[in-house]
Amino acid sequence: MRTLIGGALVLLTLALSACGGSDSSSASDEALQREADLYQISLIERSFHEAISKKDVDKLVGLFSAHATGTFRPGQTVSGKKEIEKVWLDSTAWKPETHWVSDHPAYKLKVTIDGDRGTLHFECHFVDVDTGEVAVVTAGNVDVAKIDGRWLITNFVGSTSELKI
Amino acid sequence: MPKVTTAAGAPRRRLLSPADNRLVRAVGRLPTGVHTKLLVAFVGTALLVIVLGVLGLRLLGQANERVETLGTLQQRAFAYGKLQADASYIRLLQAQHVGGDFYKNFPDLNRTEDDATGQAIDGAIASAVALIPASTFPDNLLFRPPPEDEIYLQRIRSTGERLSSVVRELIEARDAGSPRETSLRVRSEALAIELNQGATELANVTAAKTDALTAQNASAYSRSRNLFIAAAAGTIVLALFLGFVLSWSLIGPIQRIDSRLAAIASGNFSGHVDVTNRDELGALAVNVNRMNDELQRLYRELETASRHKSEFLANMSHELRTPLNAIIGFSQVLRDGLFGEVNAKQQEYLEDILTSGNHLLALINDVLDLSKVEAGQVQLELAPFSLGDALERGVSMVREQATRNGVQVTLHANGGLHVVTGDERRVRQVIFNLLSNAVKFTSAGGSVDVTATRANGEVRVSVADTGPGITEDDLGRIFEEFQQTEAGARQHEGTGLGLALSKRFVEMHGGRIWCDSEVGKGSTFVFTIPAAAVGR
Repeated sequence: MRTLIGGALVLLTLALSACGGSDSSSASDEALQREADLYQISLIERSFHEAISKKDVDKLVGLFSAHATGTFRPGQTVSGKKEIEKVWLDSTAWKPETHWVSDHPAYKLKVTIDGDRGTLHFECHFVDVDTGEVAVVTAGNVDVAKIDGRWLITNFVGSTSELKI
Repeated sequence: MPKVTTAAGAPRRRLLSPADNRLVRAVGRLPTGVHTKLLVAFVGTALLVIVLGVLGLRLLGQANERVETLGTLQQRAFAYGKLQADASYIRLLQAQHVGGDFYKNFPDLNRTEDDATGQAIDGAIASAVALIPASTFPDNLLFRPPPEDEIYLQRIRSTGERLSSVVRELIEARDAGSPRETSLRVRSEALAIELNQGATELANVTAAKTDALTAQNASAYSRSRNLFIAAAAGTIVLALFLGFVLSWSLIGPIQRIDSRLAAIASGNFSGHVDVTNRDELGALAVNVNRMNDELQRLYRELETASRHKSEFLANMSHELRTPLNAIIGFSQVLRDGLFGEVNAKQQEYLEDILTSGNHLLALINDVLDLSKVEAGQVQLELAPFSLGDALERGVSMVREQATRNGVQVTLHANGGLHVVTGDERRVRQVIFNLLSNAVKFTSAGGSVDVTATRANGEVRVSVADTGPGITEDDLGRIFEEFQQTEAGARQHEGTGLGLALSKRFVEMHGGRIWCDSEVGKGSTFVFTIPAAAVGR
């Protein structure tokens, strides 16, 4: 009889536990994670401009995912790190006689995030250190994704910009 | 007051019987009938099954709702994904004709030679952008978006309309060679980014909802399955529990009553059945106890009456035999002419007196013996004696009558019978009774065979005749007092006590007596007694 009652209690406990609520991460944890992700994405912009200023193509290409795509000129969309690297090495910024420092107006930075994907928009103001003038004003529309815990560029699209507040 | 026992005269039930369970007894004590209890149990079980069914249907309904919602979400996710693709496409088109200083960093881009292409690209952008606002309406989406999606869609629509307007202005400025081109291009790209972000956000939110619902569906399925299993198991356990308690609240009292009735049937009235039920079984137990008490009272009264009867018969037999001895003795003296000659008629009447007197004396002796046996006044005088001699003496006692009736009596006595221990006088009385009956009921030309054997520590004596046989009905009562077969009654001989006495004497020796008979072929009376009886 005791065994019977014991069995019944165990089953009732199981039933009650089965009816219990599910565990979910708290809202504060999610907000904290979002802040961390936004910061990680914004770091892409910083590294991007540092790499161009220092002509560090490895650092620059390291910001892209393995199969990232990039559209830098009409009808020529490249994919993969090697092709992206070639585009940058052929660019004016990498020419030996070019001495640019990439400046970035921080207030124009736009970052969006949704789960493991996001977007990044920034402007590049390349200042010629020889003349002390702004040589080129460009911008980039970038898609980013969190791959193996690291935010990387998956698609780079060239964008128009001007020196305008 | 008889003591209360659970199973007097019957094997005791095990100590931890489920019927002794406190809960079982409590259910038994409920002041309601068995019918109501059974009804409650069945209705309870049925309700549990219904609850289980309703729960199952509810879970099924919830699962169905989730599947339907998932289907709608997937439809929305597909439509919003297309919107996002269109927005991305616009952005890609814009990238084909980036304005401003972009070309300076990528010198392969020849702006001057690219004017025609750029114009075509701008035209393509204008066409693509014009499609965006239209595709946010329900008739193009092919479903009515929920309010939370409508907020995004309105934003996309608005952005699309603004972008469309800016692109138109851009084309005009370009065609006119206006310096506003770069500013308009920057603005159009910013709007395209906003459009793309809005569409992406909507697609992502919907995809996230789809993923969440899929995960929720999996989780809900798991939860529902566990809940259903637990509820089903709980229902089974509760049903078993109800069945256990209710059945034992009925079986327990029935077992106790059965034990008590078995005890009563074996003549034990010393106990009472202990049933605390307040239902029909409780009432039955009360009546069984009352019946027990009443039977005990009647049994005691019968015992007393029987003892008085036996005492009376013993006394009366003794009182009757004394004057009867005088009648028999003096009629014998007169018949033998000791006080003078008697004529033939007187001789005949004296013979009648003598015969009747002897018959009456035999009857009185039998009644006296039976009364003494019933009153417990007969004690066997056990001593070693020769059964063979006793049989021969019995045969010789009936031989004259047998010869007179033309009946052949044969004794087949095993030489190994030798000496047995018993009350010789009573055993001889049994043998004589059986032999005289056999000779009496066997017609001329018939035979009576007496056989005696010894085996397994007992002797077995059978007296077989070729008489008329005994019917099955008579066989059942010939060993009772004053019972005679139909043939015996017709002959007006005997008292109907001989076989009853024989049975008592044999049983007092610890033996058995019975009869096998077939009507028209004869009867065989058999008795056995232990070779060394101890008496009872």
